[in-house]
Amino acid sequence: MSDLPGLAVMVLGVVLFGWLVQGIRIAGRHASGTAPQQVPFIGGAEPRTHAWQRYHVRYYPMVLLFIAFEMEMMFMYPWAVVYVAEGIKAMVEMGMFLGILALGILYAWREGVFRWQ
Amino acid sequence: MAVKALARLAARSSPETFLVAGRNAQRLAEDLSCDRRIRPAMTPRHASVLLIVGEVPGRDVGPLRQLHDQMAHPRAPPECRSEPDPAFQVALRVPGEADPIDRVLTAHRDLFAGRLASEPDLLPDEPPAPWRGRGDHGQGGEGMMGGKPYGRPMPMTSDDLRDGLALDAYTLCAGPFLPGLPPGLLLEVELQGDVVQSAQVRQAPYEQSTVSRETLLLACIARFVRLLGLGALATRLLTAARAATSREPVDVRSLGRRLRWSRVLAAIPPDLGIVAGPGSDQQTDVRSRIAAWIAELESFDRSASAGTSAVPRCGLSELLTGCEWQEALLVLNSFAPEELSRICRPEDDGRAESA
Repeated sequence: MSDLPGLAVMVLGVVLFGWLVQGIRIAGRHASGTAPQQVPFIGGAEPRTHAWQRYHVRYYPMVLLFIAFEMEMMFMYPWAVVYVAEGIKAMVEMGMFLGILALGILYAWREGVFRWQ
Repeated sequence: MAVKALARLAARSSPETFLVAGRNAQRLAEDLSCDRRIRPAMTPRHASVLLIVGEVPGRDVGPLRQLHDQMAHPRAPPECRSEPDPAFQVALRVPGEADPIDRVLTAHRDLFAGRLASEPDLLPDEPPAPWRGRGDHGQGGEGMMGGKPYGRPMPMTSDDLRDGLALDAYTLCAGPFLPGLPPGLLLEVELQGDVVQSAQVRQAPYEQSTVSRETLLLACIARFVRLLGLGALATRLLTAARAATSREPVDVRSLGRRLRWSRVLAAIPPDLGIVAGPGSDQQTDVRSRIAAWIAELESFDRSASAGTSAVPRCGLSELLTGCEWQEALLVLNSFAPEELSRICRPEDDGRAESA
């Protein structure tokens, strides 16, 4: 019974939020403009198809790229913990490791893995 | 109160103007766009005034109405110098001797001061067709959203040119008043992503008046350079073209130096838009054509101009297929208007119209 005021406030809050969402929807009904304004500007011609295009996820190159950066991360986490104690030697070793991985990323870059088409 | 104060501030600003060029008016439209009193807009949505320069044929009045309605409110009535087509309701006519920019400024000030009402829409506020699928209740059909939403089909997958990845093929009808394309050109392009799969000319570009070689070079290089993102340099070249039209002296060497220092040639992808050159074994690409224009401008050797014109033997489709959209625009703008008219012959399939 002592929870009743809290429950009432919560229910009231939910109802008010619902009304707020509906109010925003009603207020913004004409925000998208008239039918001619919703057509994309392509020089004035009438569009023949919609402009919704799907893009391929490109799972294979994306996974390759992920693995390349993931391996860097995997070794840098424990390295970061001991780096200060180990000093310059640890930095040089990590630099060599990153250099080898950077070659792989450069190859992927040349192969167009970063081009979003 | 704050709204009125903002409206007064807006009235004092330079109006964003969308310029539409008709027949024999592209140079005039470009000269007007250099006027510092206005800001040329890239799309009608950004503009408050639509300025139509030159004669627009009757078949393009529909696209003009579309552009008019795409302008956001408040919008000024369109300004027209020539006799307006009765199908296109024009509220204000510009007398022949009046300065169109003065009219634009007056209309803009009156609009924001409340003395002029915003122009109503010309087209009905309805989609071309209701959203309808295949089923009895409007459901079903192919594509992501089902059926043909608003009468227009969804792009469906088809084979890709480059790497065999089948993507959605989107048909774009670019023009006739798209910035970056010559005025009047209606191009039907099938795109996958931004790669052109095929291109057909539905309407040839409008014919343009003959100008001096110096003016032509300056204007063509300005149009090209604007596509590469160098708006200030393009405006400088157009201002020089306006001076050349008025037979004032133009410092072409200084302009050539600015063009070389801006590294525009390095920004152009190599081996783009290759066509046969003047000789049988010579080929020119976009970079070499622009370099030839710049060299001709700097030396302004009239005898060299005949030798550097490209002779495109292929049609537009062969030229643009495989290019990305930005590359396609660069290829189109690397030809002088006369050469481009020869390439852009409408496809003869019953839907074509000539200028």
